[in-house]
Amino acid sequence: MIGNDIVDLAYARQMSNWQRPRFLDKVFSATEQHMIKEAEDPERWVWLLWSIKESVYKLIHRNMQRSFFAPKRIECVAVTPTITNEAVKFVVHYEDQTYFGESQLDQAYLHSIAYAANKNPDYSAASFSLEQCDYTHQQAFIRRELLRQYAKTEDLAVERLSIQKNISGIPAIYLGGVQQDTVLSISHHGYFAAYAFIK
Amino acid sequence: MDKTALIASLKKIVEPYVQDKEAFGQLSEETRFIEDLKINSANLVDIILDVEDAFDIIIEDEAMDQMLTVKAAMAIISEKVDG
Repeated sequence: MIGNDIVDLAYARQMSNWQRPRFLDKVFSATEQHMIKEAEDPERWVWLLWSIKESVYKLIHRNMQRSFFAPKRIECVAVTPTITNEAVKFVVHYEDQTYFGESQLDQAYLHSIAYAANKNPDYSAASFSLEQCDYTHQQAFIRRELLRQYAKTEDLAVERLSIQKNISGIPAIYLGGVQQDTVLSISHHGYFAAYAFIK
Repeated sequence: MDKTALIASLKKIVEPYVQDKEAFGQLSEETRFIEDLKINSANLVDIILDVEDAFDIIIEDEAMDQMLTVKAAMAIISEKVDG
């Protein structure tokens, strides 16, 4: 199982005001709010925790095949070593399950990848900057890049591959008309897009 | 609360966050905020806060859990407003 989420920091600043009253209360647990409030750069923490929680949500969503919106109940309990690094590892609790993952931290974006075991699966992931931020462009771009990489990994002709979402909004790769078992996750936000799939 | 009035106020709240204007033009009770209107999930929080402000209600975490469609949002608001 895998989930990934990318946050475009400039776009997030433009689109969301995390400082508006009750925003933090709706999204973050008491522990998470403490992490944010104690931080030197609270905004970076807000979006790091957001991308971590979203990446875990996508993994759970794929597992359950059902959408829900419970950002507070998907609780990040640890980020190590620190946010000033270029990469961090994280631990998340949801109900009685523990999830793990890692985030790439750039000045312009944050990219989190979640998995279900404390040992990272053999996955392929990448993030890209985009020239346009409308969703049709984002979606076409990231699907093309994912399929190109998948074709290379599996030694297949990229022309025969496509990505389709099922009724629950979960994407799958198709070869010819046949759905493949590959577990994948796609994310785009503003001028950035990313994917992750298990090899 | 009148259904037509409710859907109209909800549309007004949701509109600034919509990325698929065409889907917004065809909005129905079945419309999903994220999948159909392509609203960023962070903006779903804004929609919930805007709904709370507009109707002077509090949406608990359990209710928020399902607030992913126009229909669910309408049900939550009606329940709170009409009691």
